[in-house]
Amino acid sequence: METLEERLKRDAAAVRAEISPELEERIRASLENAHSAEPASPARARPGWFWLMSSLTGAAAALVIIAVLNGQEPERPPSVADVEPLLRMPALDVRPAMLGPLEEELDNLKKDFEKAERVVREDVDSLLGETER
Amino acid sequence: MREAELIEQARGGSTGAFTALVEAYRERLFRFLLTRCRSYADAEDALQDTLVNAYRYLYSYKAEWRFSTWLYRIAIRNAASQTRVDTREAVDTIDDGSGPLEACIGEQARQNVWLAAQRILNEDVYTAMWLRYVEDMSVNDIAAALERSQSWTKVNLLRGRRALAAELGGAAENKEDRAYGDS
Repeated sequence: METLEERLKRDAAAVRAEISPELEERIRASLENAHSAEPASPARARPGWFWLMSSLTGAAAALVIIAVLNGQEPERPPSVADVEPLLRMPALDVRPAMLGPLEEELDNLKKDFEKAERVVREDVDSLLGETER
Repeated sequence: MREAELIEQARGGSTGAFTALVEAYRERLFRFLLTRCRSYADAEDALQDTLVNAYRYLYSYKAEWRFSTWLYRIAIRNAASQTRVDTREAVDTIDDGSGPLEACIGEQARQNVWLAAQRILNEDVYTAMWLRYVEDMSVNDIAAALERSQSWTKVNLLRGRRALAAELGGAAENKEDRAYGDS
């Protein structure tokens, strides 16, 4: 008994598919006029040494640039003293006004200390005198 | 001359080598296109376009592919584009109710199984069946030609066989159906 596969093959072969001479001629003419759609090659093949030399040239150029930059005197930023002030302030002597009260306070504290020391010394002397008696 | 040598010569611009290269495939391609296109003239146009495109894009062919697979892939695309053009132009054409396949199988073979296949299978399944059982392509090659997965191809070949067997009244059911899946 014929299998499905055999029948598929047999029936496909029954399809008449002769290529007419007109179609032959059309195809031949089309092929003659057809051009390969191959994209243009991006670049001509270069020898291996080309890339080596190219790399060495690039590295040498980079070294030269680095050397030149390092050889230049570095530009220093201007110091504060060199900068001309935009607005010159008038000279104000604020020292006496600010330190005067503090110095006065310090003198008073010193006097208090001397006074307290004198009192303590007198107390000590009196205690020692009573003991000796 | 070997196929690889003909391909090399055709890539170099030899239309003679290309003609020799596709000589073995032209009639098979035309038969396949007759079953896929809506008219005889469309099938002729599709064959011409397929061969011209194959020549123009031969540079993109890779040796790891089978040449027939690559050629069928182009033919399938051309058949699909012809179908799209036909659909757009359908209002301008006279439809006599029969396609090129009916015209080409003759009155004595109206029970042709491919007519039934056209009726019940979608285009991709139909093409997979044709490539498998007429062109003896492997599942891998069919999947490549249809740009489908191998799983899709295997499953739909099986479904196609079953649908055809059912359409033909089960007469074609046989032990090979059960043993399917060897590819």
